[in-house]
Amino acid sequence: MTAFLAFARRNPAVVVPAGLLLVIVFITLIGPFFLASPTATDPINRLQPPGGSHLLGTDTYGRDVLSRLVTGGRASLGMALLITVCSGAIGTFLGLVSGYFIRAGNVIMRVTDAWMAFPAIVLAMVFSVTLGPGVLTEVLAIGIIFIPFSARVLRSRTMEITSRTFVEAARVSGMGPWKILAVHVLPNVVPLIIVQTIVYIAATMLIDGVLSFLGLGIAAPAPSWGNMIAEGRNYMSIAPYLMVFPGLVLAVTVFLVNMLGTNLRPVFDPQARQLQALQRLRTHGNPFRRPKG
Amino acid sequence: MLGIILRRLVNLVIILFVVGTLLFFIIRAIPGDPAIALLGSTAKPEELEALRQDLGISGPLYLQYLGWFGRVLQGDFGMSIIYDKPVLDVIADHIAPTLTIAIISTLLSFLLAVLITVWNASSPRNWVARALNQLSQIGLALPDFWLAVLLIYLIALNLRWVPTSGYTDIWVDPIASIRTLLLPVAVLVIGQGASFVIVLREGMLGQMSQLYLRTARVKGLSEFAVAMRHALPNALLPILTIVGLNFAGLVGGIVILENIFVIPGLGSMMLGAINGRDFLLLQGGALFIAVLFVTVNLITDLTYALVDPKVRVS
Repeated sequence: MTAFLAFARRNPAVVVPAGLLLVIVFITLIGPFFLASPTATDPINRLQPPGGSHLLGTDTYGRDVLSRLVTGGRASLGMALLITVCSGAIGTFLGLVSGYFIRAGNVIMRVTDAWMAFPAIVLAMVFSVTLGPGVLTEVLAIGIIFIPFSARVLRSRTMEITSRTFVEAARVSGMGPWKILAVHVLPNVVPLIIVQTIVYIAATMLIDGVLSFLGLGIAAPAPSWGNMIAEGRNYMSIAPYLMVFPGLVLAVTVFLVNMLGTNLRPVFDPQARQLQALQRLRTHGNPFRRPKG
Repeated sequence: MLGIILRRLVNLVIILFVVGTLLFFIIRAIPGDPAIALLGSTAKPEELEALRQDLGISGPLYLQYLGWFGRVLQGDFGMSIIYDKPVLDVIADHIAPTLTIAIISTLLSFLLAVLITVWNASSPRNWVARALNQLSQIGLALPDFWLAVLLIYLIALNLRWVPTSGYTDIWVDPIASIRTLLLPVAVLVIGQGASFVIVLREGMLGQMSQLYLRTARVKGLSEFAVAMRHALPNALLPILTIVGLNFAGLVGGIVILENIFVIPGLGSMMLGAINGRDFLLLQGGALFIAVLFVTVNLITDLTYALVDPKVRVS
């Protein structure tokens, strides 16, 4: 506990966004138990403006916007997490293997090159149309976009680590390649994996929003932030709040995730820490600056 | 240098082969029969089969694949069903809007990012520069489709400054063209500019404390000149790749914005091809986008080698 407090005091830029994100996650997990059903229609009270008995108003079917936001958030966050973990695991495996076995790595890298040349959104759309909307489809469609990127980053870090003496020592002492990867390389890339995963969560949430917006994500009556924006778009001129709220919530969440990822990097990475110190130096006085006058 | 170019060209051919192959099989997995879509479900089986033969989509899949690849190598991408024109012509018809938007917004974002970063680096305590810098984190988080809809609501519907959607060719009517391009370009510049600022700032921070800059300061250059003339050129290298990738990504990736602003570009074409089960157009379009992506990537890498002697040697 004291260790945590010390960490929090030294890294407010990490703890604050992490805390706020936890609050958001908590609300989406607990909220649905206290709110009206997100799919219960109430035609008499349709398109009620925010305030009154419905805090954030009602949509065109009289469904409670707040309740839909909370439930939709559960879907959006859950999907983003699931997708990032799946694609991150595959990307990590490919990165480690291609970083250690150079020849196989070259082949894998050619494939990832081709993979990255695919128009990502088009690919995701083709997948959605082929497999029909659903959780598995979205995991595949979006996850597949990030695998080559994470494999590339992991590969260069793995190559860097395997060139160090302690790996050579392990090799000489007769350790097998898989054991070296698991015991010596993996622990050294874990910080990189964590930071990457966080950055991809933000990107995944945005792409998930795009797919839902196009009607290729979570199916219609169930809410997601993307499909709420898409529905709200049709009532833009009479009920702008319908699309403003979900977009705002999505933007704030992505912003917090991005902040967490960016600020977590210096904690793990000495080089990034140095950059951060430099930045602080520059905003609070620069030693190289010539004196005024 | 020649060796690098040759190696990269061989690489490019391999990549395109892999892309083409994957594309073919992924796209063919889409359910739905274009022949039925065209003739209706009441058509006779013989008619359907004849049409499939015409479209080059009959027989076993691997034969279709070999046939398609063979014809593509001869420059024949087949006929589009929904447009009833050769695929290449359809792509040519749709490329102008997408390229216009991609070029304008990439250039603008790049200029904006350079301005903000240099300003921030040369006067680190100026609060406007710092605020712009922080805003880039927000720009990165705004979903572009949401921003687009919001801007349509605020600027096109409420203030009525620009039309809500549509596209006019810039050579036909420049004023109308700028009015229609304003919103989509603004949306892209906000997102792209933000990501450029973040990458560029990191590079600049690394440069600003280097000793050669102390020399520049000692010889009496202003802080702005130090940032602009000495630090910036060295910090630009890493962002070159990002700009290139981003540009290539835009050409294949502004499906959403083209959909929202009703712009007849490549993205709209691809979306139409998916919904209309126009397999040949989809394959041709995706392959075209992939070629463009790989070529832009190659050009950026070569520029890299041209600008930075270190890359050339290793």
